[in-house]
Amino acid sequence: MHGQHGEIVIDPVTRIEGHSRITISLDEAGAVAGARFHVTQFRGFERICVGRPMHEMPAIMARICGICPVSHIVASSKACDEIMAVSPPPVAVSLRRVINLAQIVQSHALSFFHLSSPDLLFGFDAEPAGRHLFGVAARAPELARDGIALRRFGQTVIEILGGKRIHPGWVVPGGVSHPLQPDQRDGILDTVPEALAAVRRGLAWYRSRLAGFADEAGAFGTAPMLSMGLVHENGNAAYSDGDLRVVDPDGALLADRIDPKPYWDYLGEVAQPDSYLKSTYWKALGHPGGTYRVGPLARLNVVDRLGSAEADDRLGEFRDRVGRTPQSSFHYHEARLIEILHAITVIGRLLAAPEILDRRVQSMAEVNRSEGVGVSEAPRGTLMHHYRVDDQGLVTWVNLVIATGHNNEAMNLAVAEAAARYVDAGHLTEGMLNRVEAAIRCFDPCLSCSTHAIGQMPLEVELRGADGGLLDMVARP
Amino acid sequence: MTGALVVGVGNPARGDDGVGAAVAEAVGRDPRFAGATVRSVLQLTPELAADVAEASIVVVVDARAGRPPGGVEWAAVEPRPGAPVFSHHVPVAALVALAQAVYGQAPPVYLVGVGAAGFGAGAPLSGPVAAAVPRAVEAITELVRERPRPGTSRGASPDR
Repeated sequence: MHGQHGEIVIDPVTRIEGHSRITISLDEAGAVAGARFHVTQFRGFERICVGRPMHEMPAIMARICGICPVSHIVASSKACDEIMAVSPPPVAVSLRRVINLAQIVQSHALSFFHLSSPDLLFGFDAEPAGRHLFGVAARAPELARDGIALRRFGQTVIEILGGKRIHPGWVVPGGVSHPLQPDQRDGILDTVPEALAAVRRGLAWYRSRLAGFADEAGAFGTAPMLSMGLVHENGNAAYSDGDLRVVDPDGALLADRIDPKPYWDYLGEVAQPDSYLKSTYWKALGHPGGTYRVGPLARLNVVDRLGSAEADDRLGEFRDRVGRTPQSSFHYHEARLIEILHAITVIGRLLAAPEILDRRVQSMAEVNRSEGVGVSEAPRGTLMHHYRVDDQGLVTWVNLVIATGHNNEAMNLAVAEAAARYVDAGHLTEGMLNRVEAAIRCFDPCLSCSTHAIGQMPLEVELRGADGGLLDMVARP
Repeated sequence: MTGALVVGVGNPARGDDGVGAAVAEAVGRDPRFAGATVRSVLQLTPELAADVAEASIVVVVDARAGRPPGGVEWAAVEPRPGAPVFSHHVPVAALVALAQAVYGQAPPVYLVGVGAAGFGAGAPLSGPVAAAVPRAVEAITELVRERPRPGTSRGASPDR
């Protein structure tokens, strides 16, 4: 922590994916006047790809992220499907769904069990020296085991299907590169019951802790805003396909069954002078009125139902307790666990269908269009890949709209709310600053994806005075 | 060598950092390691604790900067609880401690280091490091057979 003249700096923000800084500004009286979340890393994948052959794009785009490479591969391959003007064979669509859901399981497990469970187990005021995965392993080994088991389940599915756990090359333009073998399917299906048991325990544990965090649930990003996500035609949750739905804070439909590909028609984008992460907004309501959330909580808010019985029961209990379209970002945690339950169930269902072993898995074509957009749901929210190519299929232009970018404005509001609620500039404590960080962790931001930047994910918090001078700062490696 | 777990660590796209993957690949082809589990990873991550706990012996192979290129050294790894753990990376000693804490057990774990000459993007293994791959495989074979006691090492102690 460092600073002078009325400003608190938290730098780096810890237990998130990427590198960032939080600045808390004070007024003349020394009270919190506002807070901002700055993404301080930069990469430039949109430029790196120019000149590359279109067929290479999924493999290149996978390198954006070591946590959710599969999400980028799926969205990228869908953009290439558009450029080739083909539809993948039905079994390839199902296999893409399986690997995308496995990605969601392993990423959500990382977020909840590895990054956020220490706060929920020890409390936000606990000593940071013991508030980490090792502390969880010592105090609640079953919780740590379940987190590891779920990560392992998701990664093993990805490895079996894609050949390796990180940056698999199996999802390709037109479908997937090779069919599923019976022994591979059976190997995954054998592990489904254990994974379901692990997430059931995790969800029960979370609900047993919830009463102790009522205050945080009421202050971690509760600003009313829109929710956006993909849904199937029947209103069920969609992760690899589907159309966009947007609802307002009361759950009223603002848009439904709209093709997500011409995103520029309804999403605006503004650059922020203090961050490499741009903010998006729903154009019809302008900026900042069109601020929205994406990701697990937003998906639960937009869908009629998830589409699997047990997860829908848990969703019903969730809605009974927190409302039909809850606005506290704290509830991202529970939404993540419910989505894990749903994802494992659907993986089991898709793999149990005999046609999953069909041998025709890829539609072959060359360039038939000069432009393509691929949209899917990544663990953190809606992911859009947009490419233009020349007649030879060489990429001439790329635009990526990433989940963490969609959530940027919502994260800024969450930081400001948590800072106003918890930070006392005259008496700074670790617990205050940890709550500000935790408001960000609810969103599980992946800054490597959103800024396409190189780097770890530490965070800084700055405390700045009314004159803009730096008063104090915390920095964590 | 049933029950043995061999983990090659490193990025094959970054020159000699790929030696862990190269050694893992060689071990996977070696009939003496039939029944062993062989993994190649970019970095050690927390979920590997489950694989560690299930193994009868673990050998982790990684490149080492600042050591003579092609030199092969090993050390028994002592568990070190509380070491920094990131979602993307866990030191070997912390991984062993995590396995003990979560699963109540961890087998003998050894770290084999191969001195690296360079980590250039897209570069192949350097000559001395490529030549060291068979020697690293022999070192692993010896470790799995003899299981030296904790605290022992050959060459400078790899400290990852």
